[in-house]
Formats: sequence, C-alpha cells, structure tokens
Amino acid sequence: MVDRNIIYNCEQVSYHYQMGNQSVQALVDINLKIERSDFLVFCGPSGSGKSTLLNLLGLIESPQRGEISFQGKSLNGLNEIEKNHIRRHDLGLIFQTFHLINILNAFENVEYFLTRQGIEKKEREKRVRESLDRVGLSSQLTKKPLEMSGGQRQRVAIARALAKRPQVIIADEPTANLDQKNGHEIMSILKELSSELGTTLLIASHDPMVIASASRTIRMQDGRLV
Amino acid sequence: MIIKMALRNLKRNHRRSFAIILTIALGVGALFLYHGFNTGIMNQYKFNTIRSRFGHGQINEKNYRLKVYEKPWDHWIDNFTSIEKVLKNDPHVNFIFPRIEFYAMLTNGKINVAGRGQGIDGISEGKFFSALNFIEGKNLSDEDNGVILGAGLARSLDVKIGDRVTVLTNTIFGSLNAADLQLVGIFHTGVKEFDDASFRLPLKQAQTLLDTQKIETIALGLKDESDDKSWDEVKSVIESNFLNLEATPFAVLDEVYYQHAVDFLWAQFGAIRLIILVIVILGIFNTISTAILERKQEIGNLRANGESKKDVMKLLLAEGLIAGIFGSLLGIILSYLLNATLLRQGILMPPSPGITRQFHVFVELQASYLMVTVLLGIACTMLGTYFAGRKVVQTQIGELLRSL
Repeated sequence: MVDRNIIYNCEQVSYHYQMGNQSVQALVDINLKIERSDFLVFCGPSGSGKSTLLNLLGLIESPQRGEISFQGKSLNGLNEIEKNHIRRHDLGLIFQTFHLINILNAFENVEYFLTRQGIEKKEREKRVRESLDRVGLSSQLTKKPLEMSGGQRQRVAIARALAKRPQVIIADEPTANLDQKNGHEIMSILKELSSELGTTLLIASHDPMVIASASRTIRMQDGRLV
Repeated sequence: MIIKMALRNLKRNHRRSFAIILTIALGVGALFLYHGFNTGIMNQYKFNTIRSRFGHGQINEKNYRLKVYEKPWDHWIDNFTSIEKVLKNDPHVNFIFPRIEFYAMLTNGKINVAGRGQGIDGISEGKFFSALNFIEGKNLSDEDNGVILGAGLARSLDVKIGDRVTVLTNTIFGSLNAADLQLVGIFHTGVKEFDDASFRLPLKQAQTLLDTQKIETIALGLKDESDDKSWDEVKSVIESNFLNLEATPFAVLDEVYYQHAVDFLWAQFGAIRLIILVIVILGIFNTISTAILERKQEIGNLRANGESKKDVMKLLLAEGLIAGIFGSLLGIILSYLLNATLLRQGILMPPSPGITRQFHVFVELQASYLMVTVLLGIACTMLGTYFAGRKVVQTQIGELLRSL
C-alpha cells in the first residue's frame, strides 16, 4: 500500500557516469524514503554523491539501476511529457550557480515559469511580488541578474522556486557562493518557507550552518548513505 | 513571452545579431537584385525581339513555318482584307504589318550579293520597330522605290545612302523580274546573320516584283507590351475565325535566340539562387551555433524547470523568425536603395550570343517577387537556426547544466 506521507521512495538506486574511458560509480544502492514537509540536508565531502542524488530526485538525470517513486508513481515509467509536468509544477530548483535568465529582470525571472504553468496574469503578478517581497527584493524588481550581487541572485532563484508553489524545493549548495551573512539569511528564508508552506526541502551542502538548520540530515560517502 | 524572450536574446549580443541580420540581408538583397537584373535582361531581350523584327507575333497559313515548299506563294494569304477587318476590331491589336519575304540578288552594277528581302508597309513599321537601329539614313516611309539594307549587306555591296540598288528575283510564275531602288537607310539589329543578308522594300514594290497580290505573313503589334495574355486572346480570335491560319508568338518565332536565352537565364538564376540560399543557411548556422553553445546552461535551466525540447526549439526558432524578418526587410530596403543610386544608370552588358552590340540592362525589381524573397530569407534563417539548435536541444539536462 502507498504511504501518502512519503513523497520520494528510492529503492536500490545506482548511478554511474563516464569520465573518459573510466566508469565512475556516483551512487550505489541507495534506499531512501523522504516524507512530505521534510527539511532534509544531504551532507558529505565533495564527490560523495549528494549532488548526483539531488539531480536524480530533481529529474535532471535518470538512475541506471533501481527505482525512484515520486508521490507513489515510479519515475522510470514516466514519459518525457509527464516528467516535464512534474518539473514544471511540482519541483522548484535552486542551483549553486543560480542559473537565472540574464536577459530577464528579477520580476520576469520569477514570472517566466509561472507563465509557462499557465497561471493568469493577475495571480502571476501577485505571486511574483509576494515571493520577491519574502526574500527581501521588493525594491529590486527591475534589476537584471548581472546587476545584482550573488546573494541577491540566490534570493531571486529562491523566489522563483517559491512562486511555483512546488511540492519539493531542491537546492544544491545554495550557500556555497555566498558570504556568511547572506548564507544565514538564505537559510532562514528557506527554513521559514518549509515550515509555513509545508514544502519539502532537500538540500545538498557541506556547510555546517546549513546542516545545523536541517530537521533531518543524511550523510553520504562514496555514493552511499552512511 | 516567447517573442519578448526572443527579442531580448537577439539584443543580448548586438554584434552577433547584427552579423546574423546582415547575412540574411545580403542574401535576400542579392537574390532580389539578381532576380530584378534577370528580369531586366529578359525584358530587354523581349523588347529587342519584338521591336526589331517579329512584332508580338505573326499570322501564317497553318504549318507554313514548319514546311519547305517548292512554291511557297501557293500557301500565302489571299484574303488579307477580311483578316485585317477582324484584327482592326480586336481591342488588343495596335499595328498590322502585312509582309512578304523572298530571296533575291542585289547588285550595285559591279558587285552582286544574295539577300533575303522583306516587303513591308514602311509607314506603319517605322512607327513600331524602334529597335531597328539606323546607322545611316532612315527607315522606309512613303517612298515607292526606296530600299533599306542590313549593315553587313550594305558593306558587301559597298553602297551609301542615295545609291541605286537593283533587286533581281523570279516572279511567282518563274520569269525574271528586277526593280531599280534607291538606298534610303542602313540598319543594324545586332543579329549578325540578319544584318548580313536582310533588306527591306515597300510591300507594293515587292508584290510587283513577285507579280502577286498575296501576303505571306501578317506581323502584329499589340497595345500592351507586357501582357502575354493579350496575345493568347488575339490568337484565339484569329484561329477561330480563319481555320486555315495560325498565330505564332515572337518567343516561338525567335526560339533560338530569345526563348533559349530566356530558358538559359532562368535555369542559371535557379542555380545561383540555390547557392545564395545555401551560403545564407551556412552563415546563419555558424553564427547561431556559437550563440546557442554559449547558452547551454540557460537551456538546461529551462529544461530542468519543465520546458520541453519542443518549447526550447520554439524559442530558438522565434529568434530565427525575428532575425529573418528584420534581415529580409533590410535586404529589400538595401536593394531598392542600391537600385535607385548606384544601379540607376543600368549595367552595360557585352553582346549576348548572336548579337553584335552592347546593351544597358536596368535592374527591374519585381514587387511580385518581393514576398517570395522575404519568405525565402525567413525560411533559410529558421532552417539555419533549427540545424544549429537541434543538437543542443537534444542534449541531456544534466549535461547542459554542467557545461561551461
């Protein structure tokens, strides 16, 4: 029977990638259950497999072995259209290097994916303003990413993920490119959101401050959960 | 939103976008100008063919042109007056030129040269056949015993304006006949074989020489030079009223020089158009490939947030579409500007095959081809964009996000 409280279920998930002629095992037989509203941090040294695992959970890559279920549905059996639907509506991604669209300003960066979700203009604008206000950028709506600091860009990326109202926010090293003050602020915003909106928050980080704020921590080493 | 994104992506790198738009503009401009140049040559050929020899077409007895008869005059037209009546009532017909052609010996008393004579109505032909260039003297008018000679023939006979030229030929009954004529003009059509053998004399004089009242050919000059449909209508009127006659357009009468030249030039245009389009596609492919490679991470981000491969391709194609529209319009504007300035005086061309004189070609830009050129420009840009973007769009999301 499907446990409705489980949002992700990984069974025997393995992933390897090619580096030249060599095959590198990034994940080995991962078994993991993630509950709704979890604030989970994957930690571990570089190369331990945390980013790879987040990529699999964020439908950026697919496992070569094993099965990942999202909301009770196996991702292996989904076609590209169904995967895109999940990416568009259920997942919010925050990257270490922000990945904002440089030709759009802060407002438009947040608005773009809402437009693609098919949300009406009025509701869209409301959500964009709310999200940017929440991350403290209500006065920077018309600034473009290249005119912003790293902290501001990461806030736009968070607002963008937040405005989508996803089931899960996946953040890969969200504080890695930020100073300590900005890192603190970003983490408190994310934590606040997780508890307020019940969004599942999955973060990969080796920042002690991030690890300390998690409700659950999973340590990884050599592609395994330890 | 897609159009907004596409416009901003084009603005992102001004120089590169300008290079793309300029590539399209040059391709479209070259295509449009070359089409106009070709049209100019065609029209020049057409004008020369119609206005120097054939008119818009000729009427003969059916199959007369295709057969060689022992007594061709047995197949000449003997009811010219009734045909003329029908033609005068036709709204398309402006000029009617009854003619007879015959072979004769010409002499100045010392030198004898064989020639091909045309008996014509000098007054009406003088008004229409403006491409018959006179090196000396003038065209036939109302002289009863005037003759005009092709430049080569006049040279062979070593005669000048005012000299007497005797024309000797057989009547249709076989007896020898001669007429003493006075040279009033020396013409030059540019077609060497015509200028070396042809002479013209008044129709009445020719009929007297041949001892006949018949007409061999009726050439026609139409009111509308450019409208080929007019000829079809005239042809249908003639052939339905006179079942033994056929009307042949100038392009068929001058198949060797005119029609073959036209077919050759259009085939050449087709090949050059293909080359221009391929160059444009390759140029665009090259520039856009670089632009798209620099945006791999951004494309990865779009895909990671739920944009399908098709959505991303649509965005890229929208950029191609906008660049295509701007580039094509710029190309058209540049063509008109160039034609109104540098090409205003026309282009002096060397003689074409079978022709001995140079001529000016004016680039005649065709509004009817404008939309075709613009659409070709846009299609090429989108094709170049599609080929440039195809590989990146197919790349895995993770690989796109990891790219530098």
